Amino acid sequence: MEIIVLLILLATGYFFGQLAEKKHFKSIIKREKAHLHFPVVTMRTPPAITQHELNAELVAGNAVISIDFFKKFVASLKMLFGGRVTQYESLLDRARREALLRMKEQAALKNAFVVMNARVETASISKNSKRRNSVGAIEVLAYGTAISLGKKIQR
Amino acid sequence: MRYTPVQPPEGINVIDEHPLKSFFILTVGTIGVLIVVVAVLGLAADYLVKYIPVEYEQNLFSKESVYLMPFATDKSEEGLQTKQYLQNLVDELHAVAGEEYAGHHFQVEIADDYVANAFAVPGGHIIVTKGLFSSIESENGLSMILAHEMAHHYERHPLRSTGRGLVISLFLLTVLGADGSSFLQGFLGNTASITNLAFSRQQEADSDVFASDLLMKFYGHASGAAEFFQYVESEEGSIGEVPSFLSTHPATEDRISNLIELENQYAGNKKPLPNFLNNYAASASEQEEQ
Repeated sequence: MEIIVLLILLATGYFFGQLAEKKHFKSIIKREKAHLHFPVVTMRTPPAITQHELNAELVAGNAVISIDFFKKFVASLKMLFGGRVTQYESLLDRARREALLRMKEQAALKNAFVVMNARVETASISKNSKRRNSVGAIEVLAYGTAISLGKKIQR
Repeated sequence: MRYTPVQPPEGINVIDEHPLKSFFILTVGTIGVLIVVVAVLGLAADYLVKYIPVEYEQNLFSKESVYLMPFATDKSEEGLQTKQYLQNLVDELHAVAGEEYAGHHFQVEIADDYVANAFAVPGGHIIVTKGLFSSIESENGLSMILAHEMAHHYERHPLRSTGRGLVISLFLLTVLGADGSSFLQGFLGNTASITNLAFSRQQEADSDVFASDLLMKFYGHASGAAEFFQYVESEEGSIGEVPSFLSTHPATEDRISNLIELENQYAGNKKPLPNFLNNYAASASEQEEQ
């Protein structure tokens, strides 16, 4: 009986997890291409522009992506033997790129031309939950300083 | 400083590999390793158990210990009478079992359960349920069941199962930790117990052989040997079949056909059950209906 429950959970996790992941990657790649002209850099000093005042503003994007049952099961087996946990890697990749994209989209709304000093942080949600069969999720937060052009400087 | 827009290539952070590939490799690998480890640990435990003296086992699992409490015979006159009768029958069977088993002592208890069943519990205990008495027709049939449980004890099966269970649980606890909550633990635990069932089925088959031999020695014929199993088979139809690899016992049909063959070969007159036992069985089935 338990085996049947396990198989159903695995099949559900696999089907919907893969579906969501494929769809998400497609959307990420499409949006990344659309925002490709928009630079996000980790530099801390603003560019030397003298004709305009520069506006600086915090922009942030965060994404929470849940693991599915199938991934979790395979990952926990992997953890017995060690090695690259590709199941979590794709999750983190999706979350990081999604968070950066959301930050870019926010910066674009503010008419910024660059995001400076960009940082990425990650956290896991419900990792320590003692609940049976809890499925964890990871959060990635991307933030930086959006720089936009202000008033023209009169000389 | 220039910014050149380039889309980074895929396949660096995420490798393009079919997710089912690692699933199958890991599942098959884990199950394989587990079966081997469980089998080796089980055999080791099995091998060591015979060095535990019978007296030590009996002290360890004494009648006073808490775990026998749910199986205590009721204190009614018929209950005690039946228990005494069963005890005598076991002692008489034991007397003909052979000298190499002289160190064993048995204690019978009647459990308050209406499903026909009997089992051997470490420490020389034989538990029969009230429901058992309505599943058999003669003393011979009853002796067969008692002899079957005695065979378990002679071959140290209860202790071996306990030892094996203990060693394997310890192994799983060491590998997976003690919180016992994840699905992985359930999955590995199930694999381990399914592996164990093979040992259990072998033990049942061995005990059937031993019991029918003992029956022959005691009565001089094998009549009644298949009684209980025929009852089980007639009942099984209503609950449906369990696949044999998931079962603790060999398929009933297989057991019956061997025993019936033996019965036909060495037929004899069956001894009836004493009246008080029939009354006890009747009152038990009345209680069940209520």
